[in-house]
Amino acid sequence: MRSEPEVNHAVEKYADMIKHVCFYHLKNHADAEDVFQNVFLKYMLHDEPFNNAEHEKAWLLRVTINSCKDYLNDFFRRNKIPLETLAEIEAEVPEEHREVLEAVLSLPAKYKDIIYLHYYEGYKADEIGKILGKKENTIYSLLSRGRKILKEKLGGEEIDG
Amino acid sequence: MTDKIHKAFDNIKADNRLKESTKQFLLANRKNQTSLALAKRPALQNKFAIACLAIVLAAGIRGYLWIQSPVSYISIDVNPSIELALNRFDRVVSVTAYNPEGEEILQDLSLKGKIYTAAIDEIVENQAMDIYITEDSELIFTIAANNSHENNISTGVQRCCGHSGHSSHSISADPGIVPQAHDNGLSFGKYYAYLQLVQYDDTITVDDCRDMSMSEIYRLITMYEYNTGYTDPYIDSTDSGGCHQSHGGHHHLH
Repeated sequence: MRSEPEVNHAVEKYADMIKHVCFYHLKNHADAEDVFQNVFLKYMLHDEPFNNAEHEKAWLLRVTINSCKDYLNDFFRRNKIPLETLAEIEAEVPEEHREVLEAVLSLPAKYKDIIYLHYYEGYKADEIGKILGKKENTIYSLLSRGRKILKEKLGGEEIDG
Repeated sequence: MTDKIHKAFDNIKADNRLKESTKQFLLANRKNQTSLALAKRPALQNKFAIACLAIVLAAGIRGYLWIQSPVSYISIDVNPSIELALNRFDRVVSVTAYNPEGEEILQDLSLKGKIYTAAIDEIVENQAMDIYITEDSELIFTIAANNSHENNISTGVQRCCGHSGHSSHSISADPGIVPQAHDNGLSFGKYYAYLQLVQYDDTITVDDCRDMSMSEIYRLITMYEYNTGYTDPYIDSTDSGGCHQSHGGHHHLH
């Protein structure tokens, strides 16, 4: 089990990143917090050392994405009506950024991870492939299609990168 | 566009409340995990100790059974019929009387665990035996053991009976007849004598022999041998006048 200072340091360092992934997958605070805490619990109980900070970050992203998918796959949760709607969460975001956020959140699940990891976290296709356990070519094609859908949603605005 | 995506997500923050509640949640789980680990440790140690104990017990039981299992037998027959079962170390592991006379002899004796020579001496020299060992009676020791060990036991038995000064005979028998004898309720010494007799007179039954003394049985055998001229090739017919041994057969009796 990892020490308390090590775990607390990781909470401070990766909290926003984990929150982002939970948010675009689950779209409500309560569920996002459940998964958020469970991801750090897994981190605390994960005894194997990480090679470096990048390895640690990639491990946390993979665990968070898988945890979100597991959470959504749960039949009872899938059929539950969230108490807090997406609109309420988005209300926290300034209006000028809301359109882009809505466009990303409305993407099919398989594109959201790739768009986020590439455009926000700055990962390349091969790195995303390692995190998600997919082939590099698959990542390229998903990234291309996701970018195209996003462009359409944003009224033809070109997405760089 | 990359910049817009960045700015949009930058507004989604894990606030301090979430971080602190997560730290508290992890702390509570850490305590649970620690107490679980502490609770598990003695259980594991107990399991290990139980496994060790089971191995030691199993080895002990196996060793005890190995030591206690009979590998050779000595049947002592006059009229009383008594049988000693010996372990690998020639110690008595069980004593069985096959008739009321034998039971009478054994009632005051404690022979288990003793070396067979000491057990034989106690039986033969027992006061209750005096009325059975007479000039007309025969004390027959029948030995069933594997080939390599049979000679040692025979030698030991001869020393006993020689020491006792009685007219006695020792015979070696096939250990295979021991279970058959027990099935018929006879000591294997008497059953061996029955097998000799039935060769000459097939009307003789096990029940007939049960009620006969050894001298009576061997007297009949001797009579048939003289009448038919039959000689058991395995018999050493030399009579020592005291202790007397034969292999795979019987002795001429006086």
